[in-house]
Amino acid sequence: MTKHKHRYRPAIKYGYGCIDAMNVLLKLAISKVIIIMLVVQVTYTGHLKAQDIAPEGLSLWALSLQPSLNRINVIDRKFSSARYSGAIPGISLSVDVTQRTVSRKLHVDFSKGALNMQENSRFLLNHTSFYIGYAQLYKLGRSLAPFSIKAGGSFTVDYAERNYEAFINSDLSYEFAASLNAAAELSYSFQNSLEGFRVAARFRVPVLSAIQQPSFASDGPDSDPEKKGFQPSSLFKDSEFASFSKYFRISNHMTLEKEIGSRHKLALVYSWNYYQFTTSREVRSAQHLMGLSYSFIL
Amino acid sequence: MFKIRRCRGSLLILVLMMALGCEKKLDIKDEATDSVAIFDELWSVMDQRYSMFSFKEVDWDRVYTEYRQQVTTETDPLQLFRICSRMLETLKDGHVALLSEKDTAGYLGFYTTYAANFSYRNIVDNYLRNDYKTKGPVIYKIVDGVGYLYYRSFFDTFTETEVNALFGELVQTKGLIVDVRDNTGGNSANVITLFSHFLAERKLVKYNVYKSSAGRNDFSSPDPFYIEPSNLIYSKPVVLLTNRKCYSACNDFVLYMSDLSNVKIMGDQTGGGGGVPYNYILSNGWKLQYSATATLSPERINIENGIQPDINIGITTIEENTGKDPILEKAFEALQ
Repeated sequence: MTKHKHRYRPAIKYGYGCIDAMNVLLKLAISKVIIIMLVVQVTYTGHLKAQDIAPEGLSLWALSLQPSLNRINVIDRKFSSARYSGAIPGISLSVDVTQRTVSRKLHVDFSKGALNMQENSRFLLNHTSFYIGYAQLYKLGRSLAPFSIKAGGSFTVDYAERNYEAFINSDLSYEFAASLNAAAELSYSFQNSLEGFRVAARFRVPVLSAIQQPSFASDGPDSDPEKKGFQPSSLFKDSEFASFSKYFRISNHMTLEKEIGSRHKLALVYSWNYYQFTTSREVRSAQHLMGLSYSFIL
Repeated sequence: MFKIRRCRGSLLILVLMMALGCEKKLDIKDEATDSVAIFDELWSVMDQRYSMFSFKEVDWDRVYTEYRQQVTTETDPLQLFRICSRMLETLKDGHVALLSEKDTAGYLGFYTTYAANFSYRNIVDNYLRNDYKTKGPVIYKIVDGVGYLYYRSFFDTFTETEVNALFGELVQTKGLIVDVRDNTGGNSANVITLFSHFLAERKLVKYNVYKSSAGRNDFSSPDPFYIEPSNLIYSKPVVLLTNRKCYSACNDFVLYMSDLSNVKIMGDQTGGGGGVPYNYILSNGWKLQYSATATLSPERINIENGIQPDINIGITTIEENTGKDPILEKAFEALQ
């Protein structure tokens, strides 16, 4: 019994410590420090053997399709301090390339649907979001099996647009962010009776971003407030660089995967994505995604 | 330092707690909706977004002090609505309004305290004699070579095809009376569609001034707005009829027309309404409407208080009751 208590106490202690630390960091709005979501100190001994994902020099390619249901809560203070929420459908496609020490992933995600105000359901908005990201992660340590820890970075483009019904003259809001992110993944491959199952958690946090929102009092960019909506042509002119103090996002993508045969994989996906713009157009959004992913391994 | 074999469970718990801890901390929660919170929210939104405190010479901090003392957490929604409405009325802005599910409050003093100077019934019965044509939202007639058109509301769409058809007929007239009395505004696109047929060349018609951030005096530099002429231009003498109820987009139309050399304005001063109204939903679901911009004439004068006519004429109660419209008669006389 004492042995079990000793095993879990450090994790719980570190868990609470990390939560407190994160709260402090968030409050301080540190803009220059990379928040490392998972800090693990490992030591490996000669007792453990390294297990390779793939033979030396070969790549495993996988194409994935994932329909999902996204529960979104959003507050956009240009239009209301009340929360709009709802569940909307989404779809994503991804290509994974896994090698012995490095994995790459290209991911595209799209969702669209209606949200309503919790206080008064007659107020609706039409929400659209789009995401494209490329991540490259490197395996850390050689003898961690059945754990796998990867760290690296990603480049992502996140875009969300909301069209508020029953608003006159100004009814459109959008956020665009192109980001360089710190990313990490922790996965665990089950053994024995649960062999074939794998659970993974992937985090990303933007370190530096180019962001764009409409100007304070219109639906268009600063350079042309008469225009409505996101103007790709003014991407360079109207975007500004931002770090944590203006734009903060944290994404946590968890999967429970099961290989079926040698070429197919099914996964239950839970993804949590939170972002906030602390600008003159303050926006906070939290998204909970549940999905089922099918992968075909080439 | 941990040996990996021993801390498998620890690591899984760590990951879960990190993830769930973040979610709990950062999840979106509803704001407070008690009366004091709603009042403060309304005042703050106006403080940050309203575009004309200085122009209207309203001390918004003093207004807060005066009305806030009337609100407590026990104030019921109906009472709160009335207090908030009275607070907003101090701005004397027809574009400022508060709407709940059961009630609407807005300022109408821009025309209610003045003579009407218009009767649609008298126009149709006694001058058009119930014999007129329509094109889109406009009614019109040609009498003794002088055209008359009445555009009731710029909310009613006037397509380019309809306008071209209308001016195709009116181009034969020796003069045109454009009546926009009691037109309380609407869609700016309809204003541009109509006005472009009076314009000979690309013209600067106004400047828009936007709030640039939350500070009470944070504004963008004036943003010029141009209108292009249409293919079919009416260049004969025009008399534009206005009254106090001509507001918002109608006020803009009168501003544009006032700068043309072939146009004379007759009637009463327009009601004004130069700001563009935007909406905001308070935490309790009430909808607030407020002026978010300011409009300046080409001479950079704020048109919030209206446009003065070139010739000031009114209609007395007796004249109205006897079916007469001396403003229309004077306009017709000027074009003979």
